Amino acid sequence: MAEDVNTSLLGLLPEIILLCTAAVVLLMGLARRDVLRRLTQWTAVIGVIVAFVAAYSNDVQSHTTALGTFLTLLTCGIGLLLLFSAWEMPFAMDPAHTDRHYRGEFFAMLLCSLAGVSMMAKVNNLIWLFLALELVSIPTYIVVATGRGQSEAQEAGIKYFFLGALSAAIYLFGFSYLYGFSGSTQFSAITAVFQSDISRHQLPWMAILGLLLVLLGISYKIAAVPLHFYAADVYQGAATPVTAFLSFAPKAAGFVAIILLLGLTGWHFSSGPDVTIPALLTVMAVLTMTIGNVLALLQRNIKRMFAYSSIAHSGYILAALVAGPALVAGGGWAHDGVAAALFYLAAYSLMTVGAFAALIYMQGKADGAEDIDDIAGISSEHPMTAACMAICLLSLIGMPGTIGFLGKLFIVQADLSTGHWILAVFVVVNAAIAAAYYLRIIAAMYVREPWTPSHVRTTLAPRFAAALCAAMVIGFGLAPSRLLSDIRHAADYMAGSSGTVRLTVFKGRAKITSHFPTGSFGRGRRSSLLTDPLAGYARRSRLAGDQNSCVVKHEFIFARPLKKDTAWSTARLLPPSPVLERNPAVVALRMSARLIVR
Amino acid sequence: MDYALAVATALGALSIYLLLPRGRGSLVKTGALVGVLTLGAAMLYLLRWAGLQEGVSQGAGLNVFFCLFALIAVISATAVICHPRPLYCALYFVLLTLALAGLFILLFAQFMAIVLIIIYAGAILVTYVFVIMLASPGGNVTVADYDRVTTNPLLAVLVSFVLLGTVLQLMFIGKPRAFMAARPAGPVAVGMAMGHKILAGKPALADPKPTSKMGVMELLGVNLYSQYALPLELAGILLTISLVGAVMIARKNEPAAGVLGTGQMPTE
Repeated sequence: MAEDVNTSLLGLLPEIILLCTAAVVLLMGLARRDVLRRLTQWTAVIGVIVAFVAAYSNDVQSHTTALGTFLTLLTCGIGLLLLFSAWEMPFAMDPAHTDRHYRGEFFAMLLCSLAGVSMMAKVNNLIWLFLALELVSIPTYIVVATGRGQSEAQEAGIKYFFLGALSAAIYLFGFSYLYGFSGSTQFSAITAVFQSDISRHQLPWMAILGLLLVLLGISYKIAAVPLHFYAADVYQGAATPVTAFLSFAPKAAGFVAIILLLGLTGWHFSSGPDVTIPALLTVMAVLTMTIGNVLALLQRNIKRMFAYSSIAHSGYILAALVAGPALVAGGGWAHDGVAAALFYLAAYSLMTVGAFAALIYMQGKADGAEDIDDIAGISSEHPMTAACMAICLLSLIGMPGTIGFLGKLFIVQADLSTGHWILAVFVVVNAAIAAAYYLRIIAAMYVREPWTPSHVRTTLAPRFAAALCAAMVIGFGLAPSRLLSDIRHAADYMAGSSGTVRLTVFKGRAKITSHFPTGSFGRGRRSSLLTDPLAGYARRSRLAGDQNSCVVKHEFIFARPLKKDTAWSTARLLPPSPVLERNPAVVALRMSARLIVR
Repeated sequence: MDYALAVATALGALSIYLLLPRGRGSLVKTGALVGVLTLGAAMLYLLRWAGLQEGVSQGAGLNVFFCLFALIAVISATAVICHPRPLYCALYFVLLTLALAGLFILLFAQFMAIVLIIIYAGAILVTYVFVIMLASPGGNVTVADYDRVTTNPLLAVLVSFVLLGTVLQLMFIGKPRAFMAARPAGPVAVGMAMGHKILAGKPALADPKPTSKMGVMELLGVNLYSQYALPLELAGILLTISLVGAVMIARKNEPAAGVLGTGQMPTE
């Protein structure tokens, strides 16, 4: 067990670096000398960069999964952009507030929250998962309440905190049912129990209730429909850099948590007969994107509009998750809902952080502009920033040539290829609705009358972040291959594998040979999550010959990548055949295979 | 669907709805009557269920201590949400905690029971009492409106009892054995098995060996520092963050007071 802790510690190196940086930044913010206090942001930036580099190293990657590595890299990358957006944070937005001391705390909170997001895919235990979700959330409650010295921020903080605590209680309740169902908080044990239940064709009530409550609770983190109503008020009340942070950190953490938890069930629901969870996810996805987009149409306040748009985008990602993971690791994009979801998550983070960074810069120039009229005609004064904003917004619409287009394309593809055409239709229709309100912002910036500039001094950091985001939105939109291969690796970890079992019968002898290529696990090979994934089903079986001399060939598809040594034991999954059951050798073989498995 | 159970749940919902404090014209007596009826019905149901459980229609009874603690827990929980005076609510909460601790001891989870008393009846309750005392300086006479009147009793009762009813239906679904057969794994199942035996009035530990270590602190400590070492560290980080955050929020009011108001203590 101690060995286990040490190996997972090496895999957690980026998170440890982030947390240590948070501690250092916390102290630097309290330094007596002004010089040191000025360096807090730089320290935070350096910490995030070091964590990014650490996540890239082979030593770390070999101790974690490809999904973990991908999420850490994404978190550090987006985190860097968010730090740039929040550069002047605690005081620039509020001229009356001259106390510069607590910006150390502010950046420390951001770093802790990023560490929580980053470790989300590395957890292997329900308790750890809960603590990681809270590590993401608690700092965000604090920065929402303190990021801005106005009563709206405090109102937003209170709302966000109390509803967040409620949602935490709900998913903790759900975790307790999952524990009651499986008798363990360890992911591997829970997976094993789910897989032993696969033959029942229906999940037991405890598992269903647990999953329902967990999905309900986590829908708060991702701002999906049953618990979405806080988003507008909180996004509006919080300081804009904090809002940008809220649109990334809790959302990424929540979606990865959902992917992990659905992974525990082996995703067999996407092909199995129990439709409770996929039906729930479908309804959630449709309601989330439709309500988000329709309400966004009605908003005049830009931050409220982004809040509803963030709800809508959660709906798109949920639509991707309904499609489930790829049946075969290393396959194409067509069937892979998980890869589509991860890609869209990365794309959405880039686009929305870029848009927020541009908005922060404009707000600095226009006395905290909130209403859409405040940024009318801003393009004449700040063509660069307006262009960055426009690019990000076009990508949010899903214009070809941008990363947002690819994201929507993959989601629609995954939904269509798995037969969820209703969801695909909803995604397309909603993308059209969304175009209306995004274009309204672009029109306001470019077409309407020039606005009178004010002379608030702001740093160039948010503008730099916005330009970086816009460049990446276009860059990854045109040349996505590197990002795609990373995400492929990450999603393959959830994907299935295929192979054949051949039963050869000849004159009273029966032999089983199997051929299962092991699933590709991406760069990180060791996985604490995967146990023997016997959750498979026969795709095709062929019988040639008669009772006494024949070859039966079954092609299997498994919900998870197989380990080599488990491949043989899958022989027990051979479906009964009326001809062969009369051959005693076959029966004996089947019995022995079953005995070995049990 | 178990209709007897559904009726009992609906009766419970009705009684809580009637008991919830309204400003005037409250129907406490009717509510209490319905509540007593519900409790009686629930007890009868459990008796029948426990009988079926053991395959004996006659003779098998409920464990007396279970009934006692359960009754105290349900009644005091009702009082916690229905009593018009906040301080009494807090005191009933202590009673509820003690009753729950009793139920945990019946399940041989001594550590859980003790921790429940120390943390809830000890630490959290003191905080509650402080908050209540500080929030209503004028004594019980001037309890604020939002403390006296339930804001949305119908919706609250509806939501909570639909959830409760669903869980109960699932628990008692089909044959009495189905619940146990659903998942015989791990310490939870052992606990559940003991719970069922206790319900049925049997000695819980016929074979004390497999459960002799349950609820013992040593096991908990070893687990915490071996298998759960990382989550434990993470919990420490969380607590640190919360402390820093509390200081941040508390200190923020100082410079902001010039913007928001006159910088004086808020008055009622």
